[in-house]
Amino acid sequence: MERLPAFLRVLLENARDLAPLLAVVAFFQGAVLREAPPELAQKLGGAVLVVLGLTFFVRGLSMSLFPLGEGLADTFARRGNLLLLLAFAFAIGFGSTVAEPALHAVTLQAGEAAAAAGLVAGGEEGVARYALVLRYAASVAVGLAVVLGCLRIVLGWPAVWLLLGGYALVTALALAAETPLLGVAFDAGAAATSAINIPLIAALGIGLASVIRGRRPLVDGFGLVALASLMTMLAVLLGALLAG
Amino acid sequence: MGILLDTAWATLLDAAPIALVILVFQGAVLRRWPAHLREVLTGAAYLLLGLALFRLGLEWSLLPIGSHLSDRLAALGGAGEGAAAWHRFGWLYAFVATLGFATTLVEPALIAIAERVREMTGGAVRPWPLRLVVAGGVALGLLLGTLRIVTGFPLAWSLAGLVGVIAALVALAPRQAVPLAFDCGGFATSVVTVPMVAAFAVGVAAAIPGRDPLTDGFGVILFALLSPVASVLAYAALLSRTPRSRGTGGPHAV
Repeated sequence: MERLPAFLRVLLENARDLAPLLAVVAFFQGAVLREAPPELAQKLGGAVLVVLGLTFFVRGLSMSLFPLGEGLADTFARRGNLLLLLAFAFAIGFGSTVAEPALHAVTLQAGEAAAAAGLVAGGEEGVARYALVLRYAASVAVGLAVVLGCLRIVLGWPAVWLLLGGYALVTALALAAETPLLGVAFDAGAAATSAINIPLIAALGIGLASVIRGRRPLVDGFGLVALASLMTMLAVLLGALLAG
Repeated sequence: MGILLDTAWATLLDAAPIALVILVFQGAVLRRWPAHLREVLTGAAYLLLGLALFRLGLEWSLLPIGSHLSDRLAALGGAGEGAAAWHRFGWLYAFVATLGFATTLVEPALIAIAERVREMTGGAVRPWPLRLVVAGGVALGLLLGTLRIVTGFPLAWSLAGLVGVIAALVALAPRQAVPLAFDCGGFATSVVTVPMVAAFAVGVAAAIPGRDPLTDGFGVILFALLSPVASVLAYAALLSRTPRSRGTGGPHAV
């Protein structure tokens, strides 16, 4: 029972976080469009669910994925088996991305955009196949990004060169090659990292940087999530260029 | 109740591959179970329940409201005589910017990681200012992304501009803030912002004459991904140049 006040406090904090959103929606509905939103009751119920869900999610994260990710990084680093660590890094990146619903949605849209541009033949089936290939390519890209990110932490390379260099490469590709899938490639990069894999990948980096001598968690532990988005963009962009 | 069960089941399926990976590596490779197993399992249950409730809540409230409002506001500017000039969409810009700011404040991954960063730095980096700066970045990003749809400015050159600004800010910001700044873009574009933007960008592109929703509707999330990187870098650079605030906050204080 002594946990209850803390839970309530967090619940109130999250309600406070939602308040600006309610204010924005209320202002534009009421003052600009001058109409009540349709099905108001369901929308208010949705807002209550958002606050409740947020509270449980963040609490669950600090109890499960954070300690689990950091603990695993710690165990692997102490084993001293680099190959095993990298295999785990790949599996985490791939496994946490392949079922990501936002990525699923974006790859389907990409398939439709590709079909409309005449890059994919075979109607709906062709679109679905293209989307599936894209989703696996993005998941492999995230897996490779986590491998590369872990290798970077172990070897002590600064993250900035990898990230800036990667973005320079994506920019060069985007400027050099015309493809209707450019926007989709960028959106897939952002969609590949979401609620489950971000905390897990971040925890892996932080855990690794905490246990390896000479690395600082804040400086060396971050950068994995950004690398995952970047590698996904590269993979989808290269896929689009090869298809076209 | 049925919808809640469906959402919970879908969330469970999403988490299944990663649960399998952790199970295989803990059980078969390391042959060691994590400490506080009960707490971890309880936490995982909270996590899945929370995510399911959160997604259901979004589907009921934020996503329909967001796409409804942006469609209406885009139509407000697109209506009338002549070509759609960029300055006719003032309400739409105001809406996407304030919406981007407000949605980032409820982005769960950002909330959790900002809190973790506070613990890691012993309270030197406070979560609330960091989240505000990231939210400001997303607001600016969605504004620029919408402006791009309206004006039809090439996406590749937008990316070049954003990367150029980030490269310049990397040179100005303290080195230790850079990786966190880059990751903040990913934290900000997660479970709220991505479906939100996907819901409104295509609608906006459809409402504006001369834009193809299939090609012009995409790419807005890129702005939301990269402009918080720039805003956090700028914030860190600013903090490191004001000696009085040293140690009170900001990603530079390790």
